[in-house]
Amino acid sequence: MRTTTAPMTVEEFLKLPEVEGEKKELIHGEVVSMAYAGFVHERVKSNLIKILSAWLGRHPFGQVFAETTYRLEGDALAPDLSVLRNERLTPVTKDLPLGAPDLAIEVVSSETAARLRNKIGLYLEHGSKAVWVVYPEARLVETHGANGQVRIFKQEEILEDPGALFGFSTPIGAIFEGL
Amino acid sequence: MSTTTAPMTADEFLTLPDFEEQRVELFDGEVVDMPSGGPAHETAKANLIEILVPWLVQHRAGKVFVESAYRLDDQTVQAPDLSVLGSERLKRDTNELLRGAPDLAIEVVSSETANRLQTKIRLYLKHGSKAVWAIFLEVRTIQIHHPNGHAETLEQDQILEDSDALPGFSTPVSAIFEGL
Repeated sequence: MRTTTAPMTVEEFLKLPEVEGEKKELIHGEVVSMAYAGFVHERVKSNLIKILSAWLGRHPFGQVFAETTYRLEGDALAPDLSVLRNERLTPVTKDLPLGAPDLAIEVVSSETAARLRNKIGLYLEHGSKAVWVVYPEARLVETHGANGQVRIFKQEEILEDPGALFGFSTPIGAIFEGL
Repeated sequence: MSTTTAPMTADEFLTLPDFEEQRVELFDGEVVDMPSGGPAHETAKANLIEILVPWLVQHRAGKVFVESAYRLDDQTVQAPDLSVLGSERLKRDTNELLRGAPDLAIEVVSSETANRLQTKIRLYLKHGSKAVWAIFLEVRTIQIHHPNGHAETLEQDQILEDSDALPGFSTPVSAIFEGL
């Protein structure tokens, strides 16, 4: 038997009781558990934090966040990593940040292609300058810009994304270091 | 208990007795089931056939193939939902036709993982496709991937053109999602 339930609102979603060790998102009114990711995924995230923090330390543009939930109208999404530029860091409010981060980064694990595409679309629709999608298995990074342009960077290439982080660059190899 | 078997080669895979009946692909030596698409998936495929065939006929530019299995290398056989072989390619001996990637591969995304889709796209391009179109039903979006590592995302209100794979062709993106 199938039960039909009304799509959940962000307000209802944010009031859900917390279950320890469980992280959820609200995508198009549906509560979605975030995939438990293995060590490869976490290692890539950690490499990216190191690279981005070092750059942001020298170029006071903003701050890196990890698995922070953003409220986008009817959705609540938590990118693996995100960057918020300085103008959005103050004032520090009790509520979760409203709108998409300036840069959202998803490290791919077991999610479906359709769900990943939904998330990329939502971030860009709600103001992200870019979304980076990192594929640890294939050692690739895709940058998705707000104008619909996608660039794919391979292991031996240098990642640059002036639309999101002007002046930033890193060898793709550094993102996959240790794997 | 797990049994270790040697990776299957493309030759072995293509002579499997049931190959004709099954929806399977060979991926890095491993036989992988193809997800069956639901009604929306099949409708988008039918729309694409309706759009592509008259254009290809009119311009004598090539033929559309449906779920044809291409032998990309010794370990890889992939069957895109739709594919286009250009008129140059069609001059080849029929037995050689499905060797290498199609000129244009089209995947209508259903339940596959993001990893799998990304790998498929990369393999088509590596083996000679001039473009790969990935069709996302839920968000009514099309992504056109080029061999140079660039891709474009097109929404419902835009016009799809692909000067690499089908020079001169164009269709409103919405026509591909008609009826959905």
